[in-house]
Amino acid sequence: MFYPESKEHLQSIIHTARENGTALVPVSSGAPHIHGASENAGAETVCFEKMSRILKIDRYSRYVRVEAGVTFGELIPAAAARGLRLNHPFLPRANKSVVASALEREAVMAAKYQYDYTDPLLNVEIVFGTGDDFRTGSASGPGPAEELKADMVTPWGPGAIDFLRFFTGAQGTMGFVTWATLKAELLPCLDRLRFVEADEAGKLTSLANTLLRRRIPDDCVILNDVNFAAAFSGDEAEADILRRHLPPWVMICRVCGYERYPERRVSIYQGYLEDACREAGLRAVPAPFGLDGIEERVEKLLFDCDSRETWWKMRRGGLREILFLTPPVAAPSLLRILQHERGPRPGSAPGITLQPQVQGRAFRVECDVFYDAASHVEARQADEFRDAAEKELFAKGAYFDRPYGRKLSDMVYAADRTGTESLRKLKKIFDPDGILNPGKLCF
Amino acid sequence: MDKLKDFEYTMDSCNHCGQCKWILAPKMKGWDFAEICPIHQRYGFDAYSGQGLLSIAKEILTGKLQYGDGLEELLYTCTCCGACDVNCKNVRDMEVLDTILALRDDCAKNGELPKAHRETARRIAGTHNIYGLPHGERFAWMPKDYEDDGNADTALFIGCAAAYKNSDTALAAVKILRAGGVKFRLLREDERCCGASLWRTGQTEAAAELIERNIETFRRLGIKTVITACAECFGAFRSGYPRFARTEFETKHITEVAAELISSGRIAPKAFREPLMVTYHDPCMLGRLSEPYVPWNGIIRPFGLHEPPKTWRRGENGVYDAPRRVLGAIPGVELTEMTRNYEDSFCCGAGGGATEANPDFAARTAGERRREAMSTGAEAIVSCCPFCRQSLEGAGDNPMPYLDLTVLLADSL
Amino acid sequence: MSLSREAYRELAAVVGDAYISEKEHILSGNRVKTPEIPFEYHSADAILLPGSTEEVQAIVKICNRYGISFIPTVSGCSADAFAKHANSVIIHLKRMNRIIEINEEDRFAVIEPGVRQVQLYPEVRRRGLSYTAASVGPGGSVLANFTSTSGDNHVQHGTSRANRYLLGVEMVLPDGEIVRTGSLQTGSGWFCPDGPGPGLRGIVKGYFGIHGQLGIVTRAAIALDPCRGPREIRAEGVSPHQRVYLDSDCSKVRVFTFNDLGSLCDAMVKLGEAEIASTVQKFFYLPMTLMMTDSANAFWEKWNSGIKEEMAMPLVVHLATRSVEELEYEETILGDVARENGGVRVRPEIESWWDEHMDFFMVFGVLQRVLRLGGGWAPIKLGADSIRHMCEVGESISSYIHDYTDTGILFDAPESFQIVPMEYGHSAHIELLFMYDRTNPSVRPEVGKFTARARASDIADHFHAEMPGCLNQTAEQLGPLYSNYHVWLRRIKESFDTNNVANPML
Repeated sequence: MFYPESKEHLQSIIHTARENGTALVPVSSGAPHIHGASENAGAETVCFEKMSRILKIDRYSRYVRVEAGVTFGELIPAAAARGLRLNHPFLPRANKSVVASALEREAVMAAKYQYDYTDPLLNVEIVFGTGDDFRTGSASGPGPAEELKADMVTPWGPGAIDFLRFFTGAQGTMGFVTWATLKAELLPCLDRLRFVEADEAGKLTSLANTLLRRRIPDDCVILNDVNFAAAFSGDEAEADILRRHLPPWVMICRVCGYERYPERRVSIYQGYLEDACREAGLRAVPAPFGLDGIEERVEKLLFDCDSRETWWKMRRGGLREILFLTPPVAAPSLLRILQHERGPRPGSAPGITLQPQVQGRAFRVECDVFYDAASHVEARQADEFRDAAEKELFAKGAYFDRPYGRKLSDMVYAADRTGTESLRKLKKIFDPDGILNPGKLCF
Repeated sequence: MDKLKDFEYTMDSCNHCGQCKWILAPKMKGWDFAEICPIHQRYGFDAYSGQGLLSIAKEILTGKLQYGDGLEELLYTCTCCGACDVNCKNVRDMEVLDTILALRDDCAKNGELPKAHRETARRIAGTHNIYGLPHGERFAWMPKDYEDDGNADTALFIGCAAAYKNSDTALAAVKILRAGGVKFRLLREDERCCGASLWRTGQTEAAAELIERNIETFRRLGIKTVITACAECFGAFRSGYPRFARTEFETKHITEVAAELISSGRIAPKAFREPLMVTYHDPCMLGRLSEPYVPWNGIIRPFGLHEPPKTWRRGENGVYDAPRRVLGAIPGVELTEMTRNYEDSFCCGAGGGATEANPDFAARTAGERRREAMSTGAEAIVSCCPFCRQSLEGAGDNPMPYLDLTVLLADSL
Repeated sequence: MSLSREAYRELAAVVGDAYISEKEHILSGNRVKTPEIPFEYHSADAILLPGSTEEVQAIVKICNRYGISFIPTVSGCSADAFAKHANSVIIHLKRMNRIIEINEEDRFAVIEPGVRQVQLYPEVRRRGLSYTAASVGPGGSVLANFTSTSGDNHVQHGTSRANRYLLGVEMVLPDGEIVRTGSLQTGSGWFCPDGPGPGLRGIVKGYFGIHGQLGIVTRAAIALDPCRGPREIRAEGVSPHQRVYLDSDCSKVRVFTFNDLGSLCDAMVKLGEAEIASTVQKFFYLPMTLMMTDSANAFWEKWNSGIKEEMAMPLVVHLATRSVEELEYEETILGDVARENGGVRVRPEIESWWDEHMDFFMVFGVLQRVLRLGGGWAPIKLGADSIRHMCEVGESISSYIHDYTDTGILFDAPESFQIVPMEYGHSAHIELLFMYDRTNPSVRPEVGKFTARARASDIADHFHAEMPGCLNQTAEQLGPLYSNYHVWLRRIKESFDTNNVANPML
């Protein structure tokens, strides 16, 4: 295990690895590493936990710059102290690396602020498999990073190539990021949480499409009963009780007011929200399910990371994730595959999170298959369920933009020979010796 | 008459923005009917466009390009409709059409003028009309008992096309003016071709001779106002003649006169047929190209300052409303507009001698215009130019009834 | 020099005789230099008009076999759309002009390269949608604006530049293979540009486009946003004095002037924080005066009437809301922000002109007016970063530009730069647009010195004012200052274009 403490240190690690032909696997976050290091036996791990400085929090231009090892648990309160919030995934682990999350294009809760799938990631400094360092976008120059006057907040380029896109979703196969700049948003002065219940996910995906194209909710996420209960309960028993009161699907949205006339803004946007719900034959309510205190519990957890002893997804110890993107119209039919997928399911039903992305243009579907980590049977069942679901989803047009695991990667990259060959050309350029996380994706 | 060199500023100013090929943004309606240049739409290469012809003009001027090998064919396929010119002038101080006309003038002297146009010039020289038909038959359409208003200072100029091919237009014009109590005379044996076919094909020496002769005729006969039912003649008088000589007569189109007569109550159209939905085709020479030409021999200073100030002809003051008011006054006639209308009207295909030089292209262009007319749901296409009429009534794609506005109005009186 | 007869015959067999030409007068249409370019171009040896992706692919493969450079273009309105070497062909994509799909639910349009702004814009607008339209004019290629040009636009305050909205892409690579990016790669449709895994979309466009150096985009999906305002554009009047009408109930234009750039900067930042307004921009007064007038002479009259002094620091704001209540809310905030930062409303004559012509920005057509003064112009400092930094760059211009404006080398408009925020003020782009007398041969070398000085100043100050572009001489010079991007760009180019036939630069 290597623990680089600076870019130069990282470069020397990579140079040595090149000389020795040693494979390197990056780890930015604390355990569990659901998609990561454990799959590359024989490789040396490069852990970034010692590169964990918050380099800048800029209230005026609304961004943060952090090293790769900074976690949500560290950054969320630090940003809040400056009046800013992050656009982060739904209830991430407290020890999850912020940079790693952004690089993996994890779905974020405020789709309103997301202009494309790499948003809120702005720029990175990266060290390639050659040992060369590079900075993207307006961080690229002119000159060394420490002398630049720019805030380094535009991601495109430098020049005619969008380098950042080569490094997102790449699982470290092109290079290791040392720091990143990310957008931040203002902390609201006033907010209103609303819950919308539905028996079918399609009603909520359609509503979310309507709401987000009009940029109405500041935050929005859709959960099935399993994931809602798991996320907002302290343990499995409590989750079981909560789940009995829940409808099959719940959308949580938030309308916010900021520094200027927050009440007026909330009033206007709440009106738009209610109008849209009415058009869809649904209701947005402040206190759902007849459960006392649920909205306070949701509010407390929703805009923070999960600092509880056990991350909400890992209560049974084992987790398989099925992650794909779908545009709004196709979402309901793909969800039916997940819900009706035959085959053994380990223990409880899968939890599903539908996170609207990019101003509602797509949904990140996260299907969480929980299993008892101590049970080989359940582990196998979880794998089989995942494999069967992924195969059918892929055939029906689900987009696996983050293909974790050998089987899924092979299936995805077999679909387009030329595209795969082109990615391999890029890999050869940035990591000619193939030492960075080999065996991942199509490399 | 300006020479090619006089337009070098225009040639050097073009930055390929493409405004000469596409409809002006405020008029856009969708994917279809968005191109305004007939040759660019047909052939696709950038050389087939106002921008392309500027490039060609520049290279002819510098000697980099020579005539031949199809260049003349391109140059004379252009209908000189002026859509490129008007669109360019929406944003720039350039003279695209005048550069094209100057290029034709240069080509007529140094290149190979198409045979059809040389033939037209020969006919005009011999018989004073573009068809080579006997000059004595120019007014054969007149009723035997027709009498003029002897010493009227207003002349009704019939034009070659109406005289020899579309005499119903001539008769209709007479009827309208008589009905409105307008005192006018016909020029009879003194009427010669207006010269548009010579001027617009670059045969400027022959055009100058004819034009000067016509101007002298008007002066000799004391003509102060010339009315015509032909858009080509109208445009020639307004925007062509002042390039060659000083003119002392006013020009009006029959639709302008008719609109005045209707609004003053001197004529009142009546319903005379089943209700009809029509669409109106703006002839180039009546619309965007009809603004009076004002000679300018100044200097262009740095950053475009023209000294003395130049009167720009951008098509804003063409005759667009008068024909529409006339149509609107005829009971039972409902007007629906095409997308490419007013200053962005799509050429009928007949302009600039294209019918003679490239009849297939002209016919195809007319078919495209008819397609647009049909897309409005109109039952007929209406216009007020005999050349547009011959083109739009001709054989080809999308056949559609054509009605001459002058005849339509006369029939309603 | 002309192509070998074998090559010509093979190319003609692909597109048909009607859509290929090597005649000099046809080539002339694509080789005469434009006023802003200081050098003469090579002539292409032929121009081809393919009608499909398959034809483009076949052409590219032939070019590889014979070592012929190819240059893709649509409108030809770019310095990179001309041939730079002998043995070149221009692949003119005009005929590939279909709107393949407009998906209202998932909000994207799939288009071919030949679809023009004036064709697509009304089609999406009547469906209640819009896209980030360039100011390049009606004939501009929409696809090229998304893949090759900067993609900046004036109504990007609540939206962004085109980079964010380019989705799945189909592209013919320099070797003739067809690649599809993002979700298209796995047959999942057009909606997502990234992945699977790392995004190949990165080779299509960076800050600027690659202008065909890594292939020819034959189809692309662009994201659409809901439009606020009428679905059918109502226009009255005749060129050049048309007016386009917007919904006045929920639309308002306000123009302010500020004492200094710092105050204007703060105002822009605050408006972004409040997430109001469709258009917010520090507009440049020279193009603004050009837009307000209909001839160079009329421009001079207005310019000399005092507008230059009056409008040196203008902030143009367009509010476009969904309800009257929201409009009132936004207007209240706008008034507060302006007042807090010393912004003063301009006189009604100027503000009403903007109110009557906001269509310039939504319906495009700004750029050509800018060129009305004869064509000697150039935009520099086409960079983007935070509003703060862009204003910092803007402030620095005065330290060297007066040496050129005061001496008449450049048109005397030292504050003629625009700063246009995007993504509700998370970033902005800057553009300094200067003009010079192109008819004076002694000016051109001085203009070169000015641009070099401007660049040297930014480099010395470590300002991100300019973003280097394609693989060319400038890239080689600037590359070492920008993380050696030129090295990586060259390696990518060499890997994908082994025969160096895809629009090789000088």
